[in-house]
This record gives sequence, C-alpha cells and structure tokens, in this order.
Amino acid sequence: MMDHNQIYELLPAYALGILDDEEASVVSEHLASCNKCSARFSAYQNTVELLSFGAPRVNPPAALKKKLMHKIQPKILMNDKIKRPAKRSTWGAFWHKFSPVWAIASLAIISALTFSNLVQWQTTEKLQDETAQGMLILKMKGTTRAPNADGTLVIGHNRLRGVLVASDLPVPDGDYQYQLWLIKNGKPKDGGVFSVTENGYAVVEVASPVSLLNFQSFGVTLEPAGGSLSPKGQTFMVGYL
Amino acid sequence: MNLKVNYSNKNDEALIRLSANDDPEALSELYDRYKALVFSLAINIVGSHETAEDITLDVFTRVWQKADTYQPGKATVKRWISTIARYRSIDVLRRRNARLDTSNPRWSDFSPDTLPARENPEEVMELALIRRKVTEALLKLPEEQKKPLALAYFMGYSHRQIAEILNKPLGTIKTRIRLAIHKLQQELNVIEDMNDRSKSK
Repeated sequence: MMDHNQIYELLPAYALGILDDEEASVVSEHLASCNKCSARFSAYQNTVELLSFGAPRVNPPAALKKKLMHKIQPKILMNDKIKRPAKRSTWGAFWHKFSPVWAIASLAIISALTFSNLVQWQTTEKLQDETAQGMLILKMKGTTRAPNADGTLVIGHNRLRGVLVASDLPVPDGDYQYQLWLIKNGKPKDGGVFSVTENGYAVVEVASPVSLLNFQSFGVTLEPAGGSLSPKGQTFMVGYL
Repeated sequence: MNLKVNYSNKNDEALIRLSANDDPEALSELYDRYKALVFSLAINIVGSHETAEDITLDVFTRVWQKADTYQPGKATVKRWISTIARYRSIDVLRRRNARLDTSNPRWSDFSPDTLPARENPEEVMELALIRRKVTEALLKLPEEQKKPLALAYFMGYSHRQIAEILNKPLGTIKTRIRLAIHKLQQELNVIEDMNDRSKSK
C-alpha cells in the first residue's frame, strides 16, 4: 500500500506513461480523490506535452494529406435530404429478423435461374463456376445517419454475384435513390442503384465482373435518382471484408 | 444547398465533434494544424522519414475513427493527438526492436531553419520562442537526468527497463526522472500559458 508521498513521487513517471500497470492503477485511483496531486499531475502533463517542442518541427510531404483523405473516403458529407423512417412495423420486424435467410433464398433463386439459362446455352465452364465453394455472408452496418439500418450481403458461390438485403434505411425524396459501391484501394465502383420500400427495405442483386472478394469494403450512399458515376452523397451503410 | 464553412475559425474541440460526425473537412483542418507536431514527433522517435509518414497517416486515421471517444475534460485535443502519436511511434519502434541511440541528438539539434513555413509570421516566431525555451530547459538538465528521461519519453521504457539499460539502481532512475520532469516543469512554467493562447482557438 503506497502512502501519499510515494504516489506524489510517481506523478512525473505517470505523466510520461511509463509506470507499470499496478503502479499506474494505484496512482490513477489516488488522483480521483486528491486535488493536490491532481493539480501537480496536470502541471507534469503540460510539461511532458511541451517536450514535443524540443524536436525540430518538420512538415510531412504534401501527398500524405491526399492519402489520408482518400483513406477516409467512405464517409462523405452532403446536405441531409431524407426522411427518417417511422417506427419499425410488425411486417418490417419480420423482414429484419429473416433478412439473411431471404438473401440466401434470393441468391438461390437467382442462381437457379442462371443455372437454367446455362443449361440452355450448354456452357460447361460456367456450370463448373457455379459449383465452387459455399456462399459468404457480410454484415453491413448503418452509419450515424441511419443507426438502425442493417444490411446483409450474401456473396454467391462463384463470388461474382450477390444479393444485398437492406432494412431500416431512411426513405428519401423521390429525386434520390441509394447506390451500392464496391470499394478497393479507396476507389469505388458502382454496385447498383436501388430504391427502398416505405419501410426502408430493399433486395438488390449485385453483379461484378471480378470476384466480390477483391473489394475491401462496401458502402451505400444516397445519390440523385439514377445514380452517380462516383459517390457524392452521404453514406448510410458500410461493410468491410 | 451547401454553405461554405470556415473551419480555420473553429476551435479544436469543435473540429473533433465535426470529425465524429463524419465531416472530412474538419479532419483536414485538424491535420493542417497538427501534421508537423505528429510527423516531427514520429521522426524523432523512429528516426525514419518513411516510417514517420506511415505513423502520421495512422495517427490521423485513428483520430478520425476515434473522434467520438475524445473527452474534452480529460485532455486538450493537442495533447490527445500528440499522445496517440507518441505511443504509436514507440509501438512501431519496439516492433522493429531498434537499438536506442542514447546521445540525444533530437533534443540538442535546434535550428530556426527547420521551422515549417506558415502564413502567419507571428505564429512562426511564437513557435520558435517556445522551442528555444524548451531546448534551453533540456540543455540545462544534467546528463544523468537527460538520458533516462530520453529513454522514457522517446522509447516509453519503464523505470525497471531504464535501470537495466543504464545499469543503475531502480531507485536512482526513479529519482532522476522525477527530478528531470520537476526541473523542466519549473523552467517551462512561464511559457505554458503562451502555448495555450497560440494553439487552441
């Protein structure tokens, strides 16, 4: 058990962040109830902060800022033009609960239709692609603009097709639609434009010429009706591989 | 309709709040304000420009991702960012298992020519004044205090580790670090207020 003086002597080291866990814990607890030590600690913290001025100040290369802004790309700001959905209806709750199942079922239906077409075309190679590994499920989450929004992206066997089931997205004005983006190295590619029902739900078929697993993240933004060539609107859902 | 917002007039805490609400312009302004602080700190810990660039990118990405966790009452935004930078740099250095250079070139190398150009000449002079005061205060420390302090500040080593490195008793190291910080705190007391006025708006 440390006394007041012992703790007082540890304050500089605590400000430097170099105490071991046990000592740090004791000091932290003491500071919560000792005004004198808190004031002294604050002064030591200011001192440690000023040590950074002891080093010559150098700017990073200008290109670094561009890298940073690109890295945070999925979050884009625009004026708010949407209505928030009303409370989730019973029907909406049903869809929400079963959305992963529905997504898989949708993909199965799409796959079956594709299969039947392939049989008609008698294309052996495509049949083999369709029987590759199992489906993958990616959860997408609503951003601060749509905290209740939820998305399930089911990626099919051949990784080129998928189904997005979205729920609780705010219902936009008629001049706007949602757009899915497939993002790799900060560069978004169009994944499809869609509208939601009055309850904020949508089922969207996703197709890509390259494997969907090549992309690092997926985002849903609000765009002018018909979509945009690149994301310009606010982001409502994101998911990461 | 988009209204053009003047971010340079906003204080640091407002910018953090805006960043937490996904405003990239707010992060851009924070980056402009603290890029030199973060980058310089990183270089002085890891010794490599390239690594310091990666660290700078990591730090501001983290600021962006964790803006909603910032607590105004706990620390200034500047301290929060510089702490993230220091710990990230120490973390990178430890993973590289770099050997420590104990000659403290970082703190003894002062030159007005290394100050970054800014639009406001008053700010340049104020920064130069602060840096001169800090450097002078550091130079006044006896070597036996400066060495363990450098190991603590730049490497994040604990008392025990520093005692091992310098082959000194643990109690001696604790005392020397405590005396070093206390002496610096007394020497720098005058300029703490100046620094606060010049930074956060």
